[in-house]
Amino acid sequence: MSKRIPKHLTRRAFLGGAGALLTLPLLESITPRFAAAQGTPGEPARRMLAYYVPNGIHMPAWTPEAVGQGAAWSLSPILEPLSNVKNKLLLLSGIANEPARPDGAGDHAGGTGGFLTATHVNKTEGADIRSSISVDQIAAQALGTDTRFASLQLGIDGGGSVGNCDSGYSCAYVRNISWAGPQTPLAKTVNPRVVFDRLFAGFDSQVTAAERAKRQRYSKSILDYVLKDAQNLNPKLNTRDKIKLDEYMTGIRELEMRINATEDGPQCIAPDAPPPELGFQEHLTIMADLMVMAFQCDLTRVITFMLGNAGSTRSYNFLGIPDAHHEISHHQNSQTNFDKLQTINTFEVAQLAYLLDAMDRVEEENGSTLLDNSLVFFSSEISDGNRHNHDNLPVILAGSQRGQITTDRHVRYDNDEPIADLFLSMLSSVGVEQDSFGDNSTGQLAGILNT
Amino acid sequence: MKKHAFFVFCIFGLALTSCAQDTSTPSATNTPNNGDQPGDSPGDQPNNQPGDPPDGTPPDLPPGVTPDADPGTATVRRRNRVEYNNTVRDLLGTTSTPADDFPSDNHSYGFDNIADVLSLSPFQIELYDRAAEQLAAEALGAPQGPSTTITLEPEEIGGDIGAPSGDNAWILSQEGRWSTSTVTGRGRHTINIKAFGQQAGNEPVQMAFFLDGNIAQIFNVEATEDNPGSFDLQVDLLDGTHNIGLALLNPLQRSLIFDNITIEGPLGGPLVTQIEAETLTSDRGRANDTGFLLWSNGFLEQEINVPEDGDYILSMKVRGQQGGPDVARADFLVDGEPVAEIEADSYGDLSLVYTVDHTFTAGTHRLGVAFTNDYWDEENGIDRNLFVDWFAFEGPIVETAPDQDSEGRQRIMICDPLQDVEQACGEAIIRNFTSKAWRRPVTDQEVADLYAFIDLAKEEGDDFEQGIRLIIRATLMSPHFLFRVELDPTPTSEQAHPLTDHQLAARISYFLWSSIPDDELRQLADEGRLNNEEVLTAQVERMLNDPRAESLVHNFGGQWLYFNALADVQPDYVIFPDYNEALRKSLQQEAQLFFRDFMFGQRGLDEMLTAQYTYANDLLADHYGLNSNASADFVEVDLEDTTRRGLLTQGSLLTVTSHPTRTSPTRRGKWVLEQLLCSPPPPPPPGVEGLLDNEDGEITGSVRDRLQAHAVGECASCHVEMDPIGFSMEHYDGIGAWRDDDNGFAIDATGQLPTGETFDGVMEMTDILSQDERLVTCATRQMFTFAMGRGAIFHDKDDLQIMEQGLRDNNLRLRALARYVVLSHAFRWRRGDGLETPSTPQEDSE
Repeated sequence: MSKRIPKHLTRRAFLGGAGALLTLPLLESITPRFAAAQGTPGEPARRMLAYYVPNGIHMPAWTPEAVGQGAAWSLSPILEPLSNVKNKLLLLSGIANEPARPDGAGDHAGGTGGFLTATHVNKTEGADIRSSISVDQIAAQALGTDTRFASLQLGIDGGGSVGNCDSGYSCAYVRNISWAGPQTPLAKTVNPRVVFDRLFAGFDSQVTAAERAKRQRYSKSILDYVLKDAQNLNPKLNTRDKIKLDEYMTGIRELEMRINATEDGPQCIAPDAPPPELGFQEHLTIMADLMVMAFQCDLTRVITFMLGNAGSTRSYNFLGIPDAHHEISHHQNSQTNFDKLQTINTFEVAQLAYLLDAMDRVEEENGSTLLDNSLVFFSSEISDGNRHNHDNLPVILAGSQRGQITTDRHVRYDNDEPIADLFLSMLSSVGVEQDSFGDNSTGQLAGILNT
Repeated sequence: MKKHAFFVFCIFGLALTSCAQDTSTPSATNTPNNGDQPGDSPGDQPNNQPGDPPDGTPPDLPPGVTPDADPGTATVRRRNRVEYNNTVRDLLGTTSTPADDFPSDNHSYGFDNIADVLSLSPFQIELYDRAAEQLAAEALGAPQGPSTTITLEPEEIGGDIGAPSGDNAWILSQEGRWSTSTVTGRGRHTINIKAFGQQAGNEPVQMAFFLDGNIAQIFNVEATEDNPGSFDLQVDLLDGTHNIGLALLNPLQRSLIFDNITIEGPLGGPLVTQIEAETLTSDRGRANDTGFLLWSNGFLEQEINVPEDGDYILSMKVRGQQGGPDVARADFLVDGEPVAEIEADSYGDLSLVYTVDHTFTAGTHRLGVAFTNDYWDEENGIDRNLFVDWFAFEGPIVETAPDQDSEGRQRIMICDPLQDVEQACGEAIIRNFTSKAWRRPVTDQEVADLYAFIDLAKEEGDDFEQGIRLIIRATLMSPHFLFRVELDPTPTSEQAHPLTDHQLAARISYFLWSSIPDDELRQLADEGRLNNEEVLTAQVERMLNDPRAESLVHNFGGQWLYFNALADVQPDYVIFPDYNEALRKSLQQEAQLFFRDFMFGQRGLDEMLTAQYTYANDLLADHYGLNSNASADFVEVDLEDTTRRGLLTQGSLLTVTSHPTRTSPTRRGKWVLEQLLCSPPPPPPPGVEGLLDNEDGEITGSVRDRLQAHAVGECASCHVEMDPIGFSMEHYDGIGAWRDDDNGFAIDATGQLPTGETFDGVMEMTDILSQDERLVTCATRQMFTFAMGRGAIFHDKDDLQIMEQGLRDNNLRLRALARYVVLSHAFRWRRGDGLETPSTPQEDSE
């Protein structure tokens, strides 16, 4: 076998690009024209971001040995890239997503379909896909009213060209983590150019205000028309058709609201558009930049991001790992596979670190940063890739949601606390008080929010 | 065909831990990969296993004449990405493919056109909106905005690359791109760069101009400081933000100094200057937020600069507040003199736009609007006023109609609103365009509703064509366009009924073309002559001969036989250095050309596995080790006395069923079971997948050896189904090249199937496989699933049997199968879903 010399491996690439590979402008060059992102006194902006990585994590190199606060705990090898923001992390061990356990095989689909819903999804390829509304979408209902986009769903991989996804589970469970309702997975955008256009198109145009207003009137009248069309159609449809049409009408109404919001919403000076062709690393970096910009310009306050689809078979050639990620994740306790997984996981965490570092550089009011005023959730659909277990999940929280969370801690729970309870706490941090969430919540998770 | 029933195990895909126990439950659920869920209702999939008796129903029911039979439900089907692109291609004649930006469509049952899982997110709606606007603009040309000149001064903008040079220029002395962003209108722009070089060496300074991250043009800058140069290029821009950049390509001792960059445009359209009345003053009235109210006779005017002699259009947007015997009147004033008079009607609060032609000479003029017939009856409080929103001039008007020849324009503007009666023309345009787009004749009410957009455009001061643009957008955003809607007379009834001819036409065209019906199909539907066996047979033949049927190769063949997956795999570049983009494309093309013969030609399905020929270019011939006359182009190649034969020896399949670093006999076997025989094995239990490389990276045996050591215990019962098939292909490596050994270990391509047949190599294996009954059953089912956009259900079993028999009666030709699919009861009939409430759907009622 020939000796493997990775083509492009540099320390910088490994550490997540550190801002040097991208062709987007530096974040500083984006100037919020209005201060809405900084929040008005009565209603400070809060944000939620959920970050998904596929195929689980090599837990022995993930979990820090010690629990505690500040100097009491230190970062594990995989978490090392997060050193700049260690004091803004809350690492949780012993959290379980029991409802994500599938019926028979299909842990990747079950774990991903239930990733943000803590719901046991229906095993089907057909009509009756069913999860439930995801935590980010509940947050978006509360946080999304003042921004141009109630939420954004972003990712890296679209979907395969052939085949089925996972053991009799629809691909809908494998490629999406945001669910607007039990039957409505929200597709993600993977093309940075499309994200960019979405965020910044129509901004700063030199057309006159009168011309822009006219365009908006045209758009609105078209949406009114098609909505009326759909309403006329609705009573003539059978039940399944109505579900589809309902998705359509929801989309039209949201678009209508968005057009209205554009009229006087906060605006940013648009940065440079991303180039068309991107490698994986550049793709990740630019998506992270776009996420930060979207928050910074207050275009949205809720984002979900998938670094890969469930059971991703990506080869990490540039890290010297040609094998498919999913295949390695079935590690069979081989040290070779452990090493590879640790390398991949460290790379994944470095991507998170790049995002968190960037968020922490964005200054907001009273010396706080964007990261301080957000809550970022990072995890995977399973814990160990070989066992496919849904307990002891790798969970990072970052940011304190305006001081509501005491960070720089590693907390270990001993009783497989339901992730649904954590989601209740996360919702509470954005002002949504719910008694229950998903299939198995018991109340807010102790030790998360300051009381 | 000889009946072979090997692989009697493990064919129901019951996802149970043991394969063997499935044999005892042949009537259980047969959802692929599924069925272990308690809630699954038994029997919602047909059992098409060999030797499975057709449970009492006569197998030879003529299609379409069994009104009581259950055709199954068909959920409204959103267009998937391919269908969207094809549809706008055939509707508008466009070559753009807006759906490439849409989110991926979810797969179920192996295809991406399954109605029930084609969901729709708000984001997708947004992309539809954007696509509709762009398509309308592309078809008719965008309305021209005013031309502007933007000047970019680098010393004011600054940047990380380069440095200020003097007070008003910027110097680049090293590699790297100076860039900034700016916003432009839509259309052609002239870009000018004022620059010179500090020269050195033999070649002049080279300057690259970047537009949106790409080099748009490279200039040799021979100009020097004494005599700076001016460099022009023309670019077509969309409206929005653009990235503009400059770079010095050959620094060394050289430098590039530039003064500024100007962007002028959009070019070509007439200039419009609009004067907002509220910005003017007069003592005869008062301004408000949107305009100026003249309450007694008086005028508003503004000095204008007319660029050149010519014909111009003057316009004003005004509203009369009526009172007294006459309608409010207004004059257009040029240089203080009235040039035209209008009567300012009033429709409630609406201000209307009035226009008049006028010939100007170049130079400064005064343009104005006068209110001329004030009325004031103090006693009765009757008042007549004139409200002025704006006035404008546009021109010079050049008598060249915009882009008359564009394909989209020809298809849409089927009449001329200026020469024909405008209303009749507008309605004709709507009827023609929207009926095609919605795959059915539009109603009078729908025409009237859409016509309102023309009125709206005019109300806003725009023209007829702008109204048509809005109609195109509304048509493309309508649920009637985005979904294929088939209404039931009684949605809650499960009573079967035939489709309308137009619904049927759409089902056929989306099956065979992944697009809308063409004129002929539509006309047959209009005349009510389509739903007839003879007519349908002729149409299917015609449509299969049409180039649009190529979509079957990509969408049906590519998904069924997996050659589309070449887009997804990444073989390791160290182990397989020969694999590159050229080879990938060649592999894909071979598979497409090969499948085309079976889809459209006279070759039978069984021969797909045993064909003694393929298609190859020289790259592929080399890859396969064939002595052939292949050139850079693909030619048919005889495979007699070679190591290749049939689909299972094609590099596309061999590559997509391999791991990045090695072959996978298991995957290859699973592919055969799943895709060719519709008998998928259950997924492995957690924690047992994968072959282990040794700790020190040394490989200790052939893939076969390692796999056999690994697939023991509970795994063995399923691996024994899959692996022998894959072992027969072990002479082909992870990208389909022939090999005599596997990492130095001898290859053993012999095997025994669970049913006892033995073989040595893929050719003997395919001799057995090509005779397997399930090959025919499975192909039928695959095509039926693709055509219907839903998985097969229990009640489809009679239909499926008829189709399968049709396939057998026609020497296993797929084109005959396509006909039988179209003629089937399920394809031509439908029913409501019988569900009363629009809440969470219940278990399937099929």
